[in-house]
Formats: sequence, C-alpha cells, structure tokens
Amino acid sequence: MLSEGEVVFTPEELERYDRQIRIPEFGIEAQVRLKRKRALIIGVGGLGSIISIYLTRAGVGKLLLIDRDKVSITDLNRQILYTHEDVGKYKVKVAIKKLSEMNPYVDVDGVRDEVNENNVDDYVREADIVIDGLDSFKTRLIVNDSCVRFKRPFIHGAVNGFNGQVMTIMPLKGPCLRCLIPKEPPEEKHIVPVIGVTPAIIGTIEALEAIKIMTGLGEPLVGYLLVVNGLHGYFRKFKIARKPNCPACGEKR
Amino acid sequence: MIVNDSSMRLYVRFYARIKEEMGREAVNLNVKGSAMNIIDLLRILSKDKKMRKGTLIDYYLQGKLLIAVNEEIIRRNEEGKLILKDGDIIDIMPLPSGG
Repeated sequence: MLSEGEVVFTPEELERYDRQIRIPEFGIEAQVRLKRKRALIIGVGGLGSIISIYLTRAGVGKLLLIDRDKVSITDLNRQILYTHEDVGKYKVKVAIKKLSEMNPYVDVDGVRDEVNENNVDDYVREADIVIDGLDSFKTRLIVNDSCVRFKRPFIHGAVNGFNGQVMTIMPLKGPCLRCLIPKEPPEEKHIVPVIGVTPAIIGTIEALEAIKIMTGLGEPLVGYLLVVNGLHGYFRKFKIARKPNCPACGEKR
Repeated sequence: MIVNDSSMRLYVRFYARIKEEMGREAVNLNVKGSAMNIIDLLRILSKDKKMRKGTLIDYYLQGKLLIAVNEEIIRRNEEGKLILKDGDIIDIMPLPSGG
C-alpha cells in the first residue's frame, strides 16, 4: 500500500502540481498526503465525471472507479468525461483512458460492476475515502452502511434540475447518510431531469471535500447538508444532528 | 375567564419542485392556537388551493422531502415531537436523487 512506503515525486510531477503547492495552506505536505491516498468513486456519470477529473488533476495516489453502464447519447449534456464517439462504450473503460491521459502520475483503475450488499465491503475496505457519484438512494445507503462499518469518510452528493446537495460523512464523528435518510425513498419513476452545470457544481464541491479530508485541510461539511439552488443563486447550509437510534451509526447498531 | 387568542407566525420557504407546485417561493402563516408540529403544518399546507390535495403530506410520508426548522434538518419519525413556535422558519425541500 502506498501509505507504507516513501512518496517520491519526479521533477516533472512537482512542476505539474506547482500552482497548488504554492497555496500557503497546501504546500508539498498536502501534495504528499494526497499521493498516499486511494480514493473510490462509485458511479462515473455526471457527478463522477467531475469528481474523477479534479482528483486526477490534483494528484491523488490511486483512483478506483466503479460503474456498470455504457455511455449513452443522453449522458453527453453533463457527463463531461465522454464525447460523441464514446457512445456505446463502457464508461469505466473510457474513463480510465481519459483520466490516465490527463495525469499519467495517477494510478487509475476501474471495475465494470454494480455495487450491492454482497460486494460493497470488498471495495470500501480497500479505499481511504469513498465518493458518491450514484443516482439511487438504495445504493447510496448500502455504501453509507459499509463506510460506517469500516470507518471510511464518505462524501455524498445528489442533483436534480438546477438543484443539488452535498454532505460529508465522518463515521461516528458526525451524522451519517442514514441519520438524514433512514430508509430509501421509493425509486424515482421518472427520468431525473438535469443540466450539466448542476453536477459540475455539486461534483466540484464533493471533490473539494475529498481533497480537504485526504490532506487534513480546512473544515469539511461534517454535520451539515449544503443545499445549492442554482436558479436563485444561493447556497444554504443546514445542520444535521447525529441520530442516537440510527440503524447504521447509532448506539444500538 | 381567560380568552386564549394565542396565534403564531410561521415563515415557510419552498424549494425547487415544491416551489413550482405551490406557485410561490415562501408563505407567511398565521396559525391560531398552539402545539403544532410539522405534520400538522404539512396538513395545513396540503389544503392549499394551488397544490393538488394532500400532495405535500404524501411526499413527506414517502420520504421525498427534507424539512428544516431554523436551518436544522428535522429527524425523520421524530417530527411529531418537535413543537413549532412563533417566528420559526421552515424550509421544505425535495430530495434530489440524480448523479
């Protein structure tokens, strides 16, 4: 595992990260911490495109992507990893190629799979942080529960239309996704309408939260739900309390 | 004889699809009496002429809404315990699910 050994940068690699290393709070220390981390992104659609691009460019050590789908033409208004000629190809395959081209210093890997109760622990156990690029609360809650079991930070994000939300989960230190949503709402019967800018905003905030946690900088959105209203141009932060009787992270679990 | 004419003012803000369905961004409510919880409030709002009858309370019971009182999300299944008071600001938001 990367965190065991010494982190070595080539001169070119250091040059690649020059502008962020110059941020006083960031520096070479944060760059080293980032390179030691393994991030897991579940779902490489609208949110996952943005999250994976920014974590790759920031220089995370290892990135694992999971998605079972192929690129469809209806994805192209928002899933900016893919282009017209990628329609019909598996997302994970295209994503690995494009991200590796963006930054050959990041170890990008992917699995064509659907996350469920049976396989979730195998993926979460191997990761230092898990980031939500999913489109269903059923799967989000499965991932949340596994992140609580293995005490892995989990960044939640979701979108609809011009609106979205972000919540950062540090298991047992703050509320988890089940403290907010104890049980999944009924599956959305209709196709979720969305314009590309919305997952771009939400995905970028998720990537920022992931970078903060991996580097130990700033104050992550733990105990808060950040709600973004694109059309009216405001961000609002709501407090979320930890639920003592939460089925995932509560005392009686 | 003591006349109980207590009433309270609540400010309710609607988000995204709920705002479209209610036809406005916010409403100032003057409610007679006291000891009202979120479910009572949703029942009152569900009678609103502009909204299809009962939709709001149905959405909530199906887990499709997030509700905050004074910028703190209220816990599901515990909404009955939280008694609203004069001056409270309530936010009613649909839960986005896309990715």
